[in-house]
Amino acid sequence: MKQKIGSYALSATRAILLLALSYIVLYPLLYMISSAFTPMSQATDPSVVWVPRSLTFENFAFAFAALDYMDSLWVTLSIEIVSGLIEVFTCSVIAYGFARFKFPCQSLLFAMVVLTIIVPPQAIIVPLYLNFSNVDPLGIISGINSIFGTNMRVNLLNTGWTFYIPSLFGVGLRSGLFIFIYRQFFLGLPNELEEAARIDGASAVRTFLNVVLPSSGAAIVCVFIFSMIWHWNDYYLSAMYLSDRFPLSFNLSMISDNVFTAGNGVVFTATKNVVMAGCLLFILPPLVFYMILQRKFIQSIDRVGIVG
Amino acid sequence: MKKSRLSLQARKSLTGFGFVSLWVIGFIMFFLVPLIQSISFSFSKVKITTNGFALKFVGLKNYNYIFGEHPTFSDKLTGAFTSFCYSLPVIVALSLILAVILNQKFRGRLLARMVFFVPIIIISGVVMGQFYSDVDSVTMTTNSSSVYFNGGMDYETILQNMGVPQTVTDIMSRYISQITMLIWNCSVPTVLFLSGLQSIPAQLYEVSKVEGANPWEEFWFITFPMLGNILVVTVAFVAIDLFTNAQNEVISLAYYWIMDRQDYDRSSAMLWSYFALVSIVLIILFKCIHSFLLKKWR
Repeated sequence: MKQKIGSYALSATRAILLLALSYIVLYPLLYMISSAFTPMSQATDPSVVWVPRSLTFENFAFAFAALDYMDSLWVTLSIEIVSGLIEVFTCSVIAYGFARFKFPCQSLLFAMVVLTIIVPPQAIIVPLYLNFSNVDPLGIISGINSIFGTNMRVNLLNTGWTFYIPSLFGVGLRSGLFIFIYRQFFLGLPNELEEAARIDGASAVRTFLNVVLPSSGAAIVCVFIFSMIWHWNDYYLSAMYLSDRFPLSFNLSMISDNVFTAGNGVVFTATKNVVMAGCLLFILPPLVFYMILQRKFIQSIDRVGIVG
Repeated sequence: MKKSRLSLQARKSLTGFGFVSLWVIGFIMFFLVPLIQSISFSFSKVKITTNGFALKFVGLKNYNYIFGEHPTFSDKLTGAFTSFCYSLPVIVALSLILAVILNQKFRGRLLARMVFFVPIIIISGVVMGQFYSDVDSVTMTTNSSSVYFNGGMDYETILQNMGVPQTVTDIMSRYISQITMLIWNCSVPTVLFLSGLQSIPAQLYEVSKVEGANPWEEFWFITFPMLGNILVVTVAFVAIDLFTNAQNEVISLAYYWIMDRQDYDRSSAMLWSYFALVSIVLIILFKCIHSFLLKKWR
């Protein structure tokens, strides 16, 4: 009896805490939904708070046109999301090296990994930009130019490579943090499984691919979610590197500054309601993605947990 | 046939270096070189020319300027460090509690996780910027968030009349005025802790049940020690995020000088002295975590 009361009290406290916090957490989302469905004629009406007198979808139609939704969605997927996926894999490889092996300068190199998290891209963007506009690793290309008298110049700006290449080398968007997360998870894995695999004659690479990765589901899911969300949201790097086609996030950041033409030839600027509809259109895909995958993630983690 | 006879240890360290070699190359090309260039800006006078830029070495002049002559830089620096000291423990503790709650089995767990996932999408980029530029919604995140709690009452005076000392009410009002940002900043650490909790083997809890441990003991003797590794990376993330997000006053000042005033040399001096201080704070923080929190369990 006493236990039952205790468990009821526990769930009641939990429910109250979660409900109170979700009001603060959901406030911006509710604000977005409310503004996005409010017709423009009621936007400045002081008697309309939260619930508009009639619902409208015209804000979404305008936002859809202003964001150039389908084209910019394609840019987001083909540039940002692809480089995010590359990062999820390469960071795990690098982190395994840091977690399981001892080599000279290891702690110094790991301190450098942390340094790459501390220094935001904004701080080094000017030299990086110049380097990408004239790629010349180890002076090879200028060497070829001076020998053959050519005037070759490799400009990677405005291509996806400015995103893929740093991700491939583990220095992409927040890669340092992902290496750190993976490393901490790998440190917590029991060593016995890997030792057994090594005794059976598996190489280090095979051990990593067939033993370590399958048993670190929680880490992969965690990094995967963060990498997807942060790449989806990135607009600073794409604003710097791209010049004629832009991802959704960049178009959303510029939505208030431009004048647009809708499909039927109407010229419009984005009012507050259109901006909020745009925000909603922007966060919808990652939310749906998370909703669909979460169930599967939980199942897979529960299964993987047995291995650890 | 000759085969190089390296010792086992040497071979192992070579393999390890193989795993990280990709990163070392990338680090040098895409981080170290731009970093050194940017640091050299801070010791020079930068002149933008038609084909790139020209540097003239001026020694510590830029640093003397930002610490000695700039009117607000030193104040903003101390402000950033104080708000860091206030926010870090609260964010880490609250997200740990949230993660433990969300990891329990209860009705509506999926929905609750969904709800606490929303701020990650909103806070980490462009949507946040749109909210800041929206007049109606900006009141939510800045000054009027205390309306949630006091409903117009002057709780500070009431508390002081009850005999609560001034310093305590000051700290309280500081937290209450920032509660929205504090809770939003919990979203990423909560997901990190949640993944950490899910990688703890279930057998440990079964054993503790058999041994008759209560939930409180279960938390302190299984959950917390097993989360040690994740705690380190979470504290690192929260600390770095507090120091370097775009809303941080020092960072926004430096970005303003880069973007709007195109003053690369002084803004570099600001950023690099700030990052040096942040690194020192982080080193102290890690040393503290290792010697006070984690040593107990090793």
